Amino acid sequence: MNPPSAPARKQRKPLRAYLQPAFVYALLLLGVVLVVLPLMWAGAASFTPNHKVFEFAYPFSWRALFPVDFTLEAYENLFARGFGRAVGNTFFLAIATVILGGGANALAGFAFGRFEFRGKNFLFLAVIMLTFMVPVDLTAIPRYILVNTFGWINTWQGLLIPGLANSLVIFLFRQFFAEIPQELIDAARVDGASWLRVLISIILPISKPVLVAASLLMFISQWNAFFWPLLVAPRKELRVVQVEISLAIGQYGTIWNELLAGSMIAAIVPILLVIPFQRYYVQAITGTGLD
Amino acid sequence: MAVLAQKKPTTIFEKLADETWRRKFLRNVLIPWLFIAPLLIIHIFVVAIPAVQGVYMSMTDWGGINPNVNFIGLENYHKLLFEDHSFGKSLNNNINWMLFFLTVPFILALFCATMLSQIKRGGMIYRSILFIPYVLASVVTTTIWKNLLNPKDGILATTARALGIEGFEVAFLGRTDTALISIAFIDNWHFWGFLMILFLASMQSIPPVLYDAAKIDGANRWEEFRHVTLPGIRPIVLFMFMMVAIWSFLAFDYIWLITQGGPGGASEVIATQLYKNAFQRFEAGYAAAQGVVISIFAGFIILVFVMLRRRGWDI
Amino acid sequence: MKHLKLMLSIALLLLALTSVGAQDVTTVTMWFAEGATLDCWGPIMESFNDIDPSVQLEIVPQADTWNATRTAVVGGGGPDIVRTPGPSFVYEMAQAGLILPLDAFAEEMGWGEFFFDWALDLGLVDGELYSLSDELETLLLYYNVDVFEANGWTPPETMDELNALGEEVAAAGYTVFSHGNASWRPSNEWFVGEYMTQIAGPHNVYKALTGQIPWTDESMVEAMEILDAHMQAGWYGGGLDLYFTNEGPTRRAMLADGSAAMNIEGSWAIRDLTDYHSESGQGWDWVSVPSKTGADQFTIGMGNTSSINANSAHPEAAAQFLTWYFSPETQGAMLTSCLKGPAPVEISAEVMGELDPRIAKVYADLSDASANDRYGYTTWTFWPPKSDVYIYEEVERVWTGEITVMDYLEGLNEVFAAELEAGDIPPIPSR
Repeated sequence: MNPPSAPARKQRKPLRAYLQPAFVYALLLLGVVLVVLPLMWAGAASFTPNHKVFEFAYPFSWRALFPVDFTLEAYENLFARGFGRAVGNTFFLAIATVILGGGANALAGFAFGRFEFRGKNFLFLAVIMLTFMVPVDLTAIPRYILVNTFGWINTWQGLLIPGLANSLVIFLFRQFFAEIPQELIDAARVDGASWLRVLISIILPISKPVLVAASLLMFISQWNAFFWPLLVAPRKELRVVQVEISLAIGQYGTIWNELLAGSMIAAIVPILLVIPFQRYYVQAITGTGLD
Repeated sequence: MAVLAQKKPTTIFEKLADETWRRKFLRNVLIPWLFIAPLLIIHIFVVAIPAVQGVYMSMTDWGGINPNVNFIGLENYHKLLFEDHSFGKSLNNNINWMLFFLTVPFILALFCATMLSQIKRGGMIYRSILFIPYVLASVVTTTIWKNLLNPKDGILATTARALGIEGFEVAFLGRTDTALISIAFIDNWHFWGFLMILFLASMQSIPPVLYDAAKIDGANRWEEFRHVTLPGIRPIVLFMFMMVAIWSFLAFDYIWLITQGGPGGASEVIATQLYKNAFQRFEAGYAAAQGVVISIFAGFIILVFVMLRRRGWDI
Repeated sequence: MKHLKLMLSIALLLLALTSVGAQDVTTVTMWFAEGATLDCWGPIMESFNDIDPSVQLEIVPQADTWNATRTAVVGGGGPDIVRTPGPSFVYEMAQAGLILPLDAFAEEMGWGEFFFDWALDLGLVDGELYSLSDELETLLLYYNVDVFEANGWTPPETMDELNALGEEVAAAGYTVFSHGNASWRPSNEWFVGEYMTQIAGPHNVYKALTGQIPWTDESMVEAMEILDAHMQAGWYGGGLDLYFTNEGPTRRAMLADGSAAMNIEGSWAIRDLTDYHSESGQGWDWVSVPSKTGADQFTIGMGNTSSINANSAHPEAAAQFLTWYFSPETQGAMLTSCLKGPAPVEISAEVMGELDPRIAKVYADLSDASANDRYGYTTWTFWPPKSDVYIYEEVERVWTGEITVMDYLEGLNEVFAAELEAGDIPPIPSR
């Protein structure tokens, strides 16, 4: 990082130099208001008794942006129903996905990025394209039948294993590994290191951006998973966050404040993860991480 | 190396006895496959087999429940492409959807990211807030906006009324001419923050030297953006172009949650049709054919990008 | 120390005893959408567990219940009790051998004694019983009593009267029907089925359902023209665009606060009406939906069906639960405490007497109508699946002016004819 270049000569800043930042802030503020107003209503409603959630939203008045008769009832009910357990389950699943899926995807990405072997390109295309292209709903039933044959309904394996292969992640790993200078690897190979050793002691240490990005992607996709967990693990003990939230939407009515409270909690985790690490995320996607 | 390989081994035993061959085998066959094996096994069971089954189902009259099916060849495809008038309409909506998402969120995100990259204080807070909608569950986002867009009592109608402006008490989601674009607006409200974060981080990894050089050359703000920022973030912009184009053909959840394709098919897209065929009409085989068609579109988009890349575009 | 050892051994003994006990318990599973409904139904259904400790019911709260059930059952899993949204789904599942025929259980456990005859017939697939119908439904014309009194209106008895009253109501600045399909898009089909029954008449609908006359019959055209005219006039929800955007709570509030005068909807609405109107303090009541001839006609529908999963490890126990659940006593208890639409079983006059007379009258009139050839058909119970989807999807295109009523009915003819030929029509009791 270079220090900002010092101005050649001191001079009084023109008025424009003050107005411009003000203009920028004002515009951004407008954008933030558009985003924040709906969010404030949702946040406020999660602290409002259920039957008053729409009191000031219909017709809309500014009071809808603040809790009416502030209460923690929604959050209490949510946790009494077992939301805490769902959060724990999802954390466990997401972390297991990051470790196991990260391993499998990184190995494959390395092979695709660094080895020459027959059928490589075909295999890569088949693996990546198929997952990008096939609508999830279509494969749900065949996949369920398969998992059922293994006896994995209502088990951790059933929840976890189908989520391990992630095309975008393989893609990221391949891009990143392909750009590592050959000399780095050759040096280690001449010293007699095995490929696994090269991967662990040479490649991984310089792969922080792609590791962080891949982990984030896998963590968030598992954190937001809904349809598959719903199908494969209906048992209460195995419930995940999104499924637990959706239970607030009943056949004959919705418990709005619980729905919103659950969503607030579910949203916080990805935000806390993505914001600090966003730089790596982009570095990995753009493949410029080695600069 | 060349000295060792004077006589080419032929039988498997000779091959195994030959040092060079063993090395080559290890290097070019065994090790790569060992590396890929864990993923491949998962992938075969989770994606490949179900996908192949999907393609097979698209050539049957499967209803979705009864496993006894008849093979009917390409009949579903024929019906889809030549007889089903609603398919063309849905496809048209998908293309409009794509045009919207290839422009509006990109412009918004580029604009905001440029703004944010200039401010020195509070940037983190701004970008965190702008990112929140992206991680909200779609059920929540759509619920919020359906209420906000309520023609009588929603925020837009109420505010406009209070300010004395007429013409905003419109049921945007209930009119055939505004339904699709209103849903796109809502989906975009949730989506553009993600693009913005990507662009912003990419902008921040552009070496400051380049900006300094541009300043010395006397470049104004626009020229700076045009000649330094844009080339610097080009790879991510183009990559996201591809992803957004593919996602446009898979668009489903926002439309399903808000209008289910209505009113009168005004917001129907291929994926909502697919869902109705598979799960409401008991025409799962026909739905599978629609799924395959979506996949072909997506494959075509990927192909275009691969071709551009071969021609030397830096994507 | 001694105490500790003693306590430990007692604990161990208890543990051993309970685990032995646990082996003898058969658990019947049932998936159910969580929420307000389950809060009321759950405890009543779980009181089944007090009867026989060796057969226990487990209610698994499940979001998106029907989609999850279907996928699981097709994949060879799922709950013991399979609930579907209607007979056409039962038909598909039975054909695939995913649910069990129930005739033997029906005989053994005497289901014929408390179910209405026609009701058991609804569960037949190729002559065998596969499901039991639950949640009897009919459409009614609800009205806001205070609004009617203030304007000196009387509830209409014929379609002509309804047309005249509608004009008056609209002119007086009220919304005619408090409606909107934003929360449940298939609401469209309620009116299609109802107008066909009330205007074309139940006998014509029966003929069309059995393939004797086409859907393009003059009487059907007339029915759809009248519905289209009502839609175009903005009677439903206050305008077509509002009809497409009004959410459930909005339309309930419209009738309750007197900004709308009437509402045509199923008997399931009663539970909500009771809540909304007791809050607003304005009265509500209902009459049968006006017919062309003035006859008191009621369409019949079912909200749910229950079957036994072919994969169930203990169908006997599942049948035992069904017997208890569908008994007039249980159904009566759920009707009085939760206002649940009862299964089509004979509920004692005593239980009915405990109900709000307006609610009791719904079921009394309904059974009277079904006994006297004055019953009609709801689309979701008697139409085959593709036709049913066609009915509620495509009718929007009539209302938005994209196609004509005739186009719509011709299309319905085509879809229906294919299903009729394939034999996919749900059982239609002959009349």
